[in-house]
Order: sequence, then structure tokens, then C-alpha cells
Amino acid sequence: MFVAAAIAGALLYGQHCASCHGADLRGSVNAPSIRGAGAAQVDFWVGTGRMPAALPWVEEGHRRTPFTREQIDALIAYVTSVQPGGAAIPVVLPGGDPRRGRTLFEQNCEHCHGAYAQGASIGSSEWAPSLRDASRVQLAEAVRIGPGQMPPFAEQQLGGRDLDDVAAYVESLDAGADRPLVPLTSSGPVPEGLLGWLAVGLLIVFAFGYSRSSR
Amino acid sequence: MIVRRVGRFFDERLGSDAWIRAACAKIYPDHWSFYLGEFALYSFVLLVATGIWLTFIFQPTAGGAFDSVAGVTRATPVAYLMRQVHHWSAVVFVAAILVHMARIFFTAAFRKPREINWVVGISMLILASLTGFTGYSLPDDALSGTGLRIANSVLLSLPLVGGWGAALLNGGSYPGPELIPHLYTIHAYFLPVTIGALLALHLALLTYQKHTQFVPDPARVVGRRFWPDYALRTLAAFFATVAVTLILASAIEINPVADYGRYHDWTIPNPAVPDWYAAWLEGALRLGPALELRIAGHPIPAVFWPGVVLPGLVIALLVAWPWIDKRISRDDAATDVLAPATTAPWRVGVGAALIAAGLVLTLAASDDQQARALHVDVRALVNLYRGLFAFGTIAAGIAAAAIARELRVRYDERGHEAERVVALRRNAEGGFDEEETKPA
Repeated sequence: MFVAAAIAGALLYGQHCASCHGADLRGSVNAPSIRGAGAAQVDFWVGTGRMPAALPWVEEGHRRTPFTREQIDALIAYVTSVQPGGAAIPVVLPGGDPRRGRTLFEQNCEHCHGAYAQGASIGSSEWAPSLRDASRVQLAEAVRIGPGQMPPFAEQQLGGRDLDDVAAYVESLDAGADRPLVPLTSSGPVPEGLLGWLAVGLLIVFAFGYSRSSR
Repeated sequence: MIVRRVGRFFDERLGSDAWIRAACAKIYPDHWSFYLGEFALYSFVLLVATGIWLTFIFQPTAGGAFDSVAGVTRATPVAYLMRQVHHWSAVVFVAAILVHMARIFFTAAFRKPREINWVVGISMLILASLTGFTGYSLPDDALSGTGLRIANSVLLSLPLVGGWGAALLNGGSYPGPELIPHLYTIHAYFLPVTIGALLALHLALLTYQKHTQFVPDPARVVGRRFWPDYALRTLAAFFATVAVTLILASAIEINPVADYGRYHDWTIPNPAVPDWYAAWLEGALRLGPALELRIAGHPIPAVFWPGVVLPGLVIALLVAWPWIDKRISRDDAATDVLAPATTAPWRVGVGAALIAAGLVLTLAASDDQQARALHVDVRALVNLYRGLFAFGTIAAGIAAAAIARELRVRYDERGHEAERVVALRRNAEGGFDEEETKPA
């Protein structure tokens, strides 16, 4: 079974990955070596659609992966068959505590990803992506492998329970439709200030019209 | 009947009829720009009214502040509305002050004898911004805590006295146990009472010195009587302010502190910007050079220049403007007549340059968000805004002055044209004949 998947994965690898990462997975001038990358790495990069990149120098954000679940599993089987090791795909259990997750999120994630996990700039031309598109497993994978500028978090820093809770919190953000008023969740004071000035603009229009009418 | 009795009661004791009659007969100029200050005034009324309500809810302690504000939710609808109106009013209040001030500036209403009232107005603008900042900081949430951290650093950068000042404010090191109680005293008592006193002085001076007017006739005061005409108009301005603020407050959630979370000195939300009227200071800090000096062994940190020197210079310029204006225009005559903006193109240029500078600094405060939206490097935007601050403001000033000069020339040409008054007379065929009449 594993061998069959690995062979299917090798074919996919040859078509979609080898041109940059090399036939022997040792990388090239365009891409790093992925020998011993492990299941979590492959699942994250391919599953979030960041790989395969159309152009090696353009960093892709989260998008729909062109592969099926079976194809991704085949790629994982192939990469881990060439050189075993690396982090396994973490297991995230449902029923995490979003309140506890919120505290953990504040302590570990909010600095870069923002209070609403909406993503934000982290200086120069780098930005932390929105977490709202990621599945709970992808979220946990990112925590373990630390893609891009993100630092990896070890079990001792954020345990499995912690990840369940953080995932539950991020999911609860999507379920936050039960708000009485329109929330300006992206960047608070910027749209607030613009709306305040719009209100003053309306008042000026009122004053202009009012002083001209009913003389 | 009752009104008459009450009126007689006060008149017999205070002689109030005379000044009520005088107040009712006061003439208010009939021009849209005279409503701008009223919008600020009525925002202040809303702020005080809702602020009093909020003092009953808010717990001004280091531990209780966040919970008392975050606890204001849809489960407590009246308090929720009060908080919404209070914060939206603050956003509108400072903006209304600025447009009012812009009108005073561009029509040169600050000229003799009204320099004192200009300085009173500038003082209220500064105090209003401070009230806004301290109020925004009170909920002890992660976003405003980040702002307080920056303000604390700017305070620390003051040579000699900075460390003591910060220790006094915090009641220890940042964020000290006394920080929220101190901010509360400043926000809820000292600043609004001072603004109220200055506002009374502002209006008293306005009444005593009379309004300025556009009508170029210094011998007459032209406009509408307070009663029954202008009283109803200003009431309409009040309701317009309330309406606009209530629409915002009842539709759009402002400053959701529960989402930002409680502040700890290791939390910082991303992105983090202050409310719009403090954003120019944040922008200045982001653009400021990494210039760190040592004077006699004493370090002057980089935040000192954009955080203390720049706002100090801006405030000094604004306060001194009536006297600088006198120097440039060589005009120190007392006047009640407003100068249309185009009569002094250089003043338009200075005003436009100041607005442009404020706009560039304000935009720079959210450069990280723009960089992400536009997919460009933050550093490129920082350099762009530095360039715009240095040269764009001057270019904006020159361009505005040139436009004003051109408008004045055209206005002068058309002014002569407009003096030709023509009467139209219907003739027997149903057409119209022009009849030249003498200018009135």
C-alpha cells in the first residue's frame, strides 16, 4: 500500500516538483532541499496551495491546492520514502476550549497574525497570512514546522492540548456572525477615522445646504 | 403664563430681562462655515452627557478597568449605546474642531482683535486630542496599551525630567498600578473641566467681540437674530450632529476592546494604530530618523525628535500664527470683516502645506497596512512618506498658493463684470428686452 502510494507520489513529484527541488530532492538554485522534510512539511506546503509555486521567486499565499487528498498522501509517501524523518502530521482533536485558546493566541500568535487572525504586515515586505482559510490541521502544522518567517513551536512551548484550544479559538472567529453591530475587524482605528471624517463631511453638506435654503 | 412668571421672578431679582433681550437680539452671520464650530460644540455636549453615564460603569483600577469596559455588551444595551456614542463623538469632535479651525485660518478670522480666542481654540484642540488619547487608553486593552507604551517611551525621552514624569504617571515603572487611576482623573475630571472652562471663555469672547462676517461693511453687523431665527437653526445643527453620531454609533462597532483582549506588557496586536487624531504622531515616530545623540553624557533617544520636538514646533507655530501672520501681511488693524481665502495666496499656501504635512504623517501611521494591501515593502513606503513630508508639503503649499492667486485674478475680473446690473422687460411679442440700470 505504502509502496504503491510512494510510486504514485514519485510520478507526481517528477511532474510538479522536481524541476526546482531536483530529482534527488536536494534542491537547486531555485529551491531548498526537501530531503527529510517530513509529512507535516509536505502536507502544509502542498495542502495550502503554496506549492507547487508557479514562479520560484514569487511567494504564494494560501490558495486552493490542485491536488486531491490521495495525491497529497502519495507525495508525502514518496518524500518520506526517500529519506524518513521530519515532523508527522499533528492530530488536532475537536472540542478544544476557545477561551483558553484565546489566551494562548494572545501570547503566541496575535503579535503577527492580528487579533482576528486576519493577517498583517511584519515589516519589510513580509506579512503573516490570515489564518481564516487554514484548516485546523494546517494551523497545527504551521505551528510545528514554522514556515517562512514563522518560528517553529516545540511540544514544550505549545502542547497538543494547546493546539486544540488555539484551533477552536480561530474557528470561533469564523462563527462570530452573532454581533449586533457591523464590526470593523480588519484594522480598527483606520476605518473608524475615515468614517468619522465622512460624518463631518455629511455635517458640512448639511450646513451648506441648510444655510442656503429657507432664507 | 408660567414662562412670564418665571421670567418676572428672575428679572425682579437679577434684572435678567435686559440681557435676555440682548442675547435674543444678537446677530449671527448667515454663512454655512459658521456651523462648523457648532458641530464641535454639540459633539462636546454629547461627549459630556455620555461620559457622565460611563463614569457609573467604569472601574478606574488597574485590575478592573478592562472587565468593566469589556463587560459592556449587547446584554447591557444602554451602556453599550453610551459607549458607542461616546467614542464616535470623540472621533467626530476632533475632526469638527479641525474643519472649524481651518475656516478660521483661511478666512483670517484670528486677526486683531481676536488673537486671544484663536489661542483659546488651539488650546482646546490640544486638550481635546489629549482627552481622546487618555480616554482611548482607559479600557486597558491590548491595542491602547500599545499606545500607552509608546507614549510612555516618548515621556521617558524627555531630557532630565522624563524618568521622573513617567514614574509619577505610572506610580512606579511601566505599566504601574497608578497608571489607569491617573489617566482616569486626567480624562474624566481635569481635561473636560478645563475644556469646559475654555469653551465658556471661547463663547464669551465671541459674544463680547461679536462674530466676524463676510459682508465687507465694518459699520453694520449682518446676519440673523438669535430669537426666533438662529436659535432654531442652531437647534437643527445640534440635531444634525446627534443624528450623524447616532447613526454611526448604532450601526458600526467602534473600538471592540473585548476582541483586542486585556493588555499585558508582552501583548501587542497587529496592526496597531491610534485613533485618527493621534495618528500623525505615530506617523512621525515611524518616519523619524534613527538619530540618537549624547549631550554632556546624557542620551537623547531617537523618539525625542518626532515625539516631542515636532509636536512642540507644530503647537508653537499654531499658537504664534496670528503674530506671524501680522509680520507677513504687515496688517495689524482691528477688523471684523473676514478675508476671502484668495485675498492672501501665501496664507492659503501655508495652510495647505500644514494640511499636507498632517496628511502625510497620518498616512504614514498605517504604512504597514498599506504595504500589505499594495504588496510593497514597508521600507519603500517609509522612504516615500519621508520624501513627501520633506518636499510634497512644500509643493502642495506652492500649488495651493498659485491656485489661490489665479482664482483671485479671475475673481477680480469677474467682479467688475458682476457690477453691470441688467433688468429684463417683457415685450409685446413675448420676448425680453435688456434694460441697463444704474448700479444701486
